[in-house]
Amino acid sequence: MSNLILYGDGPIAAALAVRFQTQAHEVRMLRLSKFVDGADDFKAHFETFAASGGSYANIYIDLTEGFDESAEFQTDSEAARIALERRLKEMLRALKYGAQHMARADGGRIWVLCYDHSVSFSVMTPSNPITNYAAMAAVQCVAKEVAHFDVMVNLFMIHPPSDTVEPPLWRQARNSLHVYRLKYKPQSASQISELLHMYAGIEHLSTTGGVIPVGSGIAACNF
Amino acid sequence: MNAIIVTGGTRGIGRAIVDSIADRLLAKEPDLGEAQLVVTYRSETAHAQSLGTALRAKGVVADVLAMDLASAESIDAFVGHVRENYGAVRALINNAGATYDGSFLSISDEGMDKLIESNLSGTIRLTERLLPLLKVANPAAVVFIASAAGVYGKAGQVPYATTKGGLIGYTQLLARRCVRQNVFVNAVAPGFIATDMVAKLDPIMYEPTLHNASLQKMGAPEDIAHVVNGLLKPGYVQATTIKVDGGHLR
Repeated sequence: MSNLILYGDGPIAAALAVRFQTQAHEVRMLRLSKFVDGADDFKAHFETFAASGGSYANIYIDLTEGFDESAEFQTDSEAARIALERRLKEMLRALKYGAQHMARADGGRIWVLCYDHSVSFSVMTPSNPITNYAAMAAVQCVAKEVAHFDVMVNLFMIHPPSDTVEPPLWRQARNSLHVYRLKYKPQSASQISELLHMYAGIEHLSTTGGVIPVGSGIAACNF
Repeated sequence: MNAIIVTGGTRGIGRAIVDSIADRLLAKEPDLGEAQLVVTYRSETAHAQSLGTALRAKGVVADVLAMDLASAESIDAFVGHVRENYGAVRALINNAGATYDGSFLSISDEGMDKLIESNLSGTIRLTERLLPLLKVANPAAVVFIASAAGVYGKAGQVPYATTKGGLIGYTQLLARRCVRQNVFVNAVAPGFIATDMVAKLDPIMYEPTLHNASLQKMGAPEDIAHVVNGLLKPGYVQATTIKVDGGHLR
């Protein structure tokens, strides 16, 4: 089974790669020059791989690391806007060429990884609502178009893993939620990757166009 | 004098919004204060002239100006005009937008890029440029016209839905940034509304969707205008996206 992780700079993607490798499944990491006009590389990559007879069972588009829209717009909105534009252009190309590749190979699964931006209200974590909502809309649309090729497209909306936040900050957030025993139970990148890996191994995946919450035990919008 | 800006306001949903605000200005509703309508259009001057004539006949003074969200120069020129002629922006209704529909696996990268540049990036550029003037108005409102496609996706509309989803996210981001300046930021997500844009579609694109809606019919541009007008009033609604889609339950 071949798997592709696009970007993959985040700890979850790295932990997931280790899990695949442990099971002797091939994992390729395609790193581009960080959302800067690298979009054509996706197309070339899929063409070259398919020409060699390869096909991917899973493609992961990791949008968790390397940017923080809320902070960037606060600091320099013009630079933030330009970076956002490039990021979304690349995301659409990744979805398009990835789905094309899988449609030609009789199916496969595309997974988009995002950090749940609502967590940033409690803990200092990246907050990317624009990319998240754009990605959710894209995934829901694409899934509807490619399901008949057996290409499944879903998005994991992940609470940032415990490894990415200093423990005192988690404690502070948890202590502010002492209502009816509501508490954070942060998960490590390795634990989260276990869940993602489980999804990859499901033989008959019965969800597409889904936004799958993965988190620390706190659902969105508690008050 | 404050400005109330409606982008893409010469036809369809934008025109209904302009007409409803014009009526409120004529009625001197205290919510809006002393303000003048500023309406943009992209290229169709006939529609712009027709709007200008209609507003004058009503007794409403309005600026009707060309602006193209795909052009940074055009946006900056428009913002320059607003800055020179108005002290503040009481409301910005980001209605302008285009579509680029088709089978996702075969549409062009260039077409996708252009839609992101105009619908999303251009709208953000305009809003960010006007932000200082919005903060001066106190209170002010920003309303983004998103789409139901941006909320739950629509086959054949991947780039369009992506840009509208992005606007929903930007609504949240901007609302959080601006709350201390008394700027109210929200979005409206129309379902199928009887406009020129929908009239171009093959009925197969929308008939099954209409049948699934609780109301089982297309909405009117005035339905959107009604909700937008409600959001211009300062209150407890912030950072949200209101679906006006006839009641899609999923």
